[in-house]
Amino acid sequence: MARNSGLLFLAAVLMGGAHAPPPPADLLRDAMGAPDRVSYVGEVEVLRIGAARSDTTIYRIEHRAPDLTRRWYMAPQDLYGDSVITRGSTNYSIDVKRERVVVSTDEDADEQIAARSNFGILMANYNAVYAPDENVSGRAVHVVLLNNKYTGQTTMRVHIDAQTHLVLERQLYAANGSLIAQTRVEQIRYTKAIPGALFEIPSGMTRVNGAARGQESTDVPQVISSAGFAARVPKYLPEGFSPIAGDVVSIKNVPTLHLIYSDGIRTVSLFQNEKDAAVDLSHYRAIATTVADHPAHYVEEGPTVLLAWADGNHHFALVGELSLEELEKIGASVLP
Amino acid sequence: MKPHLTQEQLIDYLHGELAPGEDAGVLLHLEGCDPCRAQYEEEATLTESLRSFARTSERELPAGVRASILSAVEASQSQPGWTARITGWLRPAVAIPVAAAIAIAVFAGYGSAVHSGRTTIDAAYYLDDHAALTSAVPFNEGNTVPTALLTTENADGSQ
Repeated sequence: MARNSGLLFLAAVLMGGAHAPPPPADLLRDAMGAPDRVSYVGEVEVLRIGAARSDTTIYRIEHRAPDLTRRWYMAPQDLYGDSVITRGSTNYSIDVKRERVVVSTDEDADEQIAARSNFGILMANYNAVYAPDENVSGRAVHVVLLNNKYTGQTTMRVHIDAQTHLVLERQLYAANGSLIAQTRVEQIRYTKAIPGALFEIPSGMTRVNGAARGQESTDVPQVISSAGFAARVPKYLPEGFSPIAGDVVSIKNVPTLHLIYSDGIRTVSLFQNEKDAAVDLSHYRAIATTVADHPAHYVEEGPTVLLAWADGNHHFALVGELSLEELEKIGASVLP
Repeated sequence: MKPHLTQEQLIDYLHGELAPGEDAGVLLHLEGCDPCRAQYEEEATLTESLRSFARTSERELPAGVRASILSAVEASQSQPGWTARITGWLRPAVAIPVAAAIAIAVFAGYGSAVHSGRTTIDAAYYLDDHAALTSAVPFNEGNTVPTALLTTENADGSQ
């Protein structure tokens, strides 16, 4: 890493005094806060690649710093015309076909703070190094590779606008090196002239409250003890993973514990309840498998895999962007 | 020559938010400064296109919707009684596909929990909750599409 930085600095000097980029970790840290200070409009393309199915989402974005965002969906076809307006920590999902506005609070602000605190986990598990500069949507970008310290594999490429430090593109790779997700901002235009009217919620639609979401806490042992039942935790996690948050939420009067594990880029969620409430997979193409000889099923949503199984009345669901084999290994370690 | 106008001044001028004296000063400057005028026109074009976009993306309730709701209400009031409905369900054209659908659901094994009255939790909830909370991880934007726009279930998570 030091050698790369040195070469970059030398190249910058030879190019006539151009500013050398800051150390990659500093640039990454600054990029996380860029949306708080940069207003822009553009078009975002999100590609998620799965073994069985891939999907693309395209939306127009207008973002007025620090916390007003409107996403207007163009693809997939089912979403065309729908939009999501985010005002601070409140999301308004505008469903034009059902003529309703679903209001939900996802504590984005808190998650931003959490993301900054989890930056330490990211840096503990990944080496940040520069790749040669590139160009995204006509903008010069610095490219930072995040290489897993245990496997040496590049897990993420982040393309950061050299001037504004906004992330314009990122790619997520599986452990075998294949691309599993990409987000790219096209037709980026920085401007402060975004009318407030764009972020107004349309009137005349039915307003409904979104699904209740638990207030996650980083005090994971406390969350586990508040579950109200004998919760189980995995004895095995892939290298670098550690618990980062959890919450207990009542779904249909079933207390459900949600624990989140991460290595700073990849995440795994473990959901469990002890009320015999099975995971309903009827809306998905579920495939049978086993978790330590227990019958199980899994579904794939792009690169995300959900693995569901039960041990008596204790039902589990593991969700993550890891391979099925890794999830089965984690699942087997959850059983007593 | 006066210094060029700042972007903030131009935007405030565009939105009529400058004090009268400053507003007049900006107008005067724009008349004599080609670079500032070019920037002003660029900002004005963008602002207008964004406003047009906002206007066109607002949807009117289609004129026929009210009429179709009223006719649906009238139709529901003149529905046949329960004996007639049961007789209708027993017609082979309806009963055979329904029986086949039930058999497929039982064979797949997933329908049993749903139809037995046992509480189940839709996998979509778990997928959505996982995606939402991953936004607490650096460079992960969480849900790109909220489930509220994707599913046909009630917004509060019940089915």
